Parts: sequence; structure tokens; C-alpha cells
Amino acid sequence: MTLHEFVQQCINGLSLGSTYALLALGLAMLFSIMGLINFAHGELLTIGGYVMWTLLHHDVSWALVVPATLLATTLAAVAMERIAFRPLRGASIETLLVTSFALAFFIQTVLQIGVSAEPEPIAHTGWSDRGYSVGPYTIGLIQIITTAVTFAVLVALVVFLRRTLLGVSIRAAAEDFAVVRLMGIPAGRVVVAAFALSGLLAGIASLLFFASAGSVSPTSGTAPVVAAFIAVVLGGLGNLAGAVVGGYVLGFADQILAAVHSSTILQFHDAVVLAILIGLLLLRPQGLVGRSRGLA
Amino acid sequence: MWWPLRSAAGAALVCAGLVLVAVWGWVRGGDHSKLTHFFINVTIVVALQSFSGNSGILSFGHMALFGTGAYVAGILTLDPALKATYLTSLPHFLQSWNPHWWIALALAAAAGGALALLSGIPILRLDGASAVIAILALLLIADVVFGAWTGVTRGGAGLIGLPPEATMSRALVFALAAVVVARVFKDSKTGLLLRASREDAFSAASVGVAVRAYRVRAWVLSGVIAGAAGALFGWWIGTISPTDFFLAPTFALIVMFIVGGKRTVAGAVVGAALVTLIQEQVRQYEDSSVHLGVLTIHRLTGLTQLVLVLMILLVMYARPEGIVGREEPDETILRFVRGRAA
Repeated sequence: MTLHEFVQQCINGLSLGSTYALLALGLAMLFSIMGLINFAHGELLTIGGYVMWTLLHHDVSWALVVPATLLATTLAAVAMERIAFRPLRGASIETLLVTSFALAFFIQTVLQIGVSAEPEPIAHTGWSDRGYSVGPYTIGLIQIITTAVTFAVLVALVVFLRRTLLGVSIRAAAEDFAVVRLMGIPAGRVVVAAFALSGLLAGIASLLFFASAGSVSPTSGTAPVVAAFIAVVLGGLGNLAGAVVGGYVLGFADQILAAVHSSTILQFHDAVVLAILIGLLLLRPQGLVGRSRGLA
Repeated sequence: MWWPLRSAAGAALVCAGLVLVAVWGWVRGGDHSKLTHFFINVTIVVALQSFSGNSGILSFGHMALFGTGAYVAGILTLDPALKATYLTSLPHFLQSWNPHWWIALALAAAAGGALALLSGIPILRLDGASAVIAILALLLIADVVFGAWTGVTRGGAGLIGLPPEATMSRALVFALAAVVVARVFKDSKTGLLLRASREDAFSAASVGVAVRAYRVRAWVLSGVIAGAAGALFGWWIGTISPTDFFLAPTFALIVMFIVGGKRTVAGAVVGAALVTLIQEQVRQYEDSSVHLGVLTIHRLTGLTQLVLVLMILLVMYARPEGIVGREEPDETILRFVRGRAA
């Protein structure tokens, strides 16, 4: 691989990693606060995709599609918390995990029966496959938008988490929920805020993902969310900064390996990426950013 | 009494139940296919129980082990004429070799165990939720390999025309063997220390329990049983493709495991019975349409899944420890009898 190809793949990896980072951040937030590995996070992405499909199908302008999608995924996340997870507060990690797995299948099945099991086309936007040449490199407009939006969101999120009471409560709850409650912060508000925030991040990821994916099906959310799981573990489970790092590492690894692989191995690309990441965890079981807390 | 014998005797109650179901099938005659499916489900969920039930690490990866068994046994026993047409990248000696079913099954079990050993050593270095996700990654890797290795697995087109070697009596024998082995393992020293680590891994490690090594042992045993179950599954269903071993069957397996009660072998069997009943009874309605006033639904694809979702949510909210609960039924009976005697 030449240096030129390497840089090109890094550019591609930057936008792919951005999508993973947005999803991973939402997952890491919920895990660190309440020990929930939220399988149904991918279904937030899918719900966003179906909202986009419905609105674009009826020729609604993008100026409305964007807020509507974000609102839908945020509300869906809050509804998930209220209906499925609030009755289980304080339950074991395993109970929460199984419930979220069941919830994911429930949403998928409802979409299968209610809409269709087949993929629905999302109208192409015209601008989403436009590309620019910068020197020897090609950069897609959607890649620029994805990366720029993600960076903006990350900056906004850092400001929110550091400067507002709710944000500080969320960060504190990620460290030690019990102490936060002893400090007189209402637990319910922190959990709902975390869910809403994870829904908002999933909505942004959804807009960026489906603008280039071109179609949405009931199982669209599964592959990206599993990738985001891997990113979360890679960064150090429950570590917010680690989740972002994990997302980008996964994005870069994916794109760079895709360029290295010959066509025969390319079919096994996803398997190779996952195997390498498991290998990385073998060296650092606590994740790339995390501190060691494992069994001796 | 020597402890393995006592454990095996304890499993007798569950085994008697399985034999009764089989006898009922023989007496009634007719379709034994559903009962064979039930016994195969018992075997795979008992495999899951022997790892996840004892170690407390929920595995989303058992379908990788199960699928490996199914593909190994299926490829070995496929008609050599079909092998030559379908499986072009198969090594030459496998093209012509057509082993007896039990040799193929033994190799499938060995393959399940080997994959478990190979994957378990790195994956089980992780702990808790990280281990859960790494095991899920194993499922994804297996799915990619089953789908992309077309010269050996025929990929998404599926391996067609597997010989019907999974008779009801064979499936019954393996289900019984799995139940006894899982119960003896649970009561063994490894099983006991593993269960201690499930309650508190740090405390167990602090008193010298080699938590990781015990987890790997359970994972390998589980892989062997799952590989054997997979072989029977392939022969039972006749056609296998990667989707038979991906998320939807993983979900059904988790439901069996959780609903019955994850801590006991008896619970695994009860869960398998309930889920098989739903799978076999609800599936026939999936093609029907429903009229709800103005709303008409043309095909109820995924109705089975919906019923499974409702079932597991009910258990999660009402009785998280599952139907059977914390004790094997023979332990409950024994405690009851002793309580009366005292």
C-alpha cells in the first residue's frame, strides 16, 4: 500500500469512525450509568431510518426531515426507558441485557409485520454522492458532513457534560451512581437525560448513515450497533472518551484493512477486523483507554 | 454414595421426563420430527447452560459452536456426488470420504470443542460485559465465515440434501447424555468453584479459584455438546444456511435458557420444551392474514419471534430466576423429604 492509498483510507476511516463514535458514545453512557448493554440502540437507528423514508417518500424537505428524525429517535429512546427499563431499575446486568435484546427483536418484528421485511429505498439526495478532489485525494461531501457534524457534536457534548448541572450529574453518575444520588441529584432525571441524549446521538448517526446507505430494513441497525459495541469494549467499557477513541480505531482499522486485503480475503473482511480487535483486547483487556480493574 | 453417581441419579428425574415424552411419541405414532426437534433443542440449551449457567457469563455465541458442528457433520456426510458439484474448494480426501454418521458426529463435537478452546483462551481473558460482547463478536465472525467460504459451505445458498441421520431415538440418546454430563459437571469441583465465581468473581479469585481456567473448561465442554447438537440439527433440518445460526436462533436459544431458569439443568429442559412447543405450534399461523377493523395485515412474518419476546419479557418482569428457579427439582424434593424426617 502506498502512502497515498493509506491517507485516502484514513479519510474514509474518519467518516466511518465518526458514525461508530456517535453510536458508541450513546451505548457507553447508558452502560456506565446503569450497567445496560443496550441491544435496542440499533433499533433507534432503524427507527430514524424509517422516519426519513416516510418523510422523504412524501417529498418533505430536508429542513424538516432533520429535526423530525432527531425528535423521533430521542422520543423513542425516552419511551424505551419509560416502558421497558424503568420497571427493571436496579436489576442485574444480565436481566437488562436480555430485556434489551428482546426489545430489539420486538421492534424488528413490529416493523416486519407493520411495514415489510424487505428493504425500503431512501430517496437519494443528489448531494450525498458528490465528491471533491483535493490534490490526489477524493473526499465525498457526505464524508465531510459526517466528520464535521460529529466533531461539532463532540464539542457540544463536552461543553454540555462539563458546564451544565445535568451534564456534570451524568458524568458523575457514570463514575458512581450511588454517590450522585446521595448528593441529592434525582436519579430519574439523570437516567432519562442519558437515554434522551443517547437517542439524540443515534438520531444524528441515523441521518448520516441512511443518507449514504440508500435503503432501510428492519434489521439495518444490527450491524452498525454491533460494531459500536466492539468500539465501546475496545475503548474501555463505560469510558466515554474511550468509546469515541474505540469508534475511530474501528473505523480506521476497517478501511485500512479493506485496502490491504486481496479479493479472496475481502469476503472475510469483517471477520478479520473482529478477530484483530479481539486480539488487541488480548493485549489490553481493560481497553485502549481504560484502567485495569480485571481479575488478576 | 460416590458423588458423580449421586448427581447422575439426580438427573434421572429430568431424564425420565424426556424418556416419557419419547414413549408418548412412539405410542401415538405419527410425526416424530417435532419431538426430534425438541431433543435437539434440549441438547443445545443444556450446552449453553453448562457454560452460562455455571459461569454467569451469558453467551450470545453458542450458535457459532452449534453451526460449526452442523457444517462439519453436514459436509462430511453429504452425498459425494453433491460434494463434487457444490463444494469445489473441499480438500480432495474429504471429497471422497463418506464416514458413518457417528464418526461425523464425533468429529463435529471435536470441532465444536476445538473452536471453543481456540476462541475461549483469548475471549475469556475478558470479564463481565466485555466478555459478553467479545462472545457476540465470535458469532459475527462465524456468520461471516459460514457465508463467505462458499467453496466449502456453499454460503448463503445453503448446504442442501443432508442425509436424514437424526432419528428421534438418536436425538433422545444425545439429549439424555447431555443432561447427565451437564449435571455431573455442575456438581463437580470445577462446576462448584465456577458457580462460586458466578456469585462473586473477586472473592472466588481471592481464595485461589483460577476463575479464567475454569471458565475455559466449561466453555470447551459446552462447545463439545453444542457441536454434537449442531450435527443432529443439520441432519434433522436437511438444509443449512448461515441464517440458521445467526441472531434469530440465538434469541430463541437465550429464551429457552432464561425462561426455564438459567441456574439448573432441569430449567434448561423446561425452557426447551416451552420454546419448541411455541416454535412448532405458532409457525403454522405465520402465513395467515389478520383483519383488525380497517387494518389488514397480510403476512404475520415473525409471529413466533413476537411470542418469544412476550414470553421472555414476562419472565424478566415477574420471575427473573426462571420457572424452575434456583434448585434442581430432585434437590427440592430431597430437602422437603429431609425436612419432614427431622
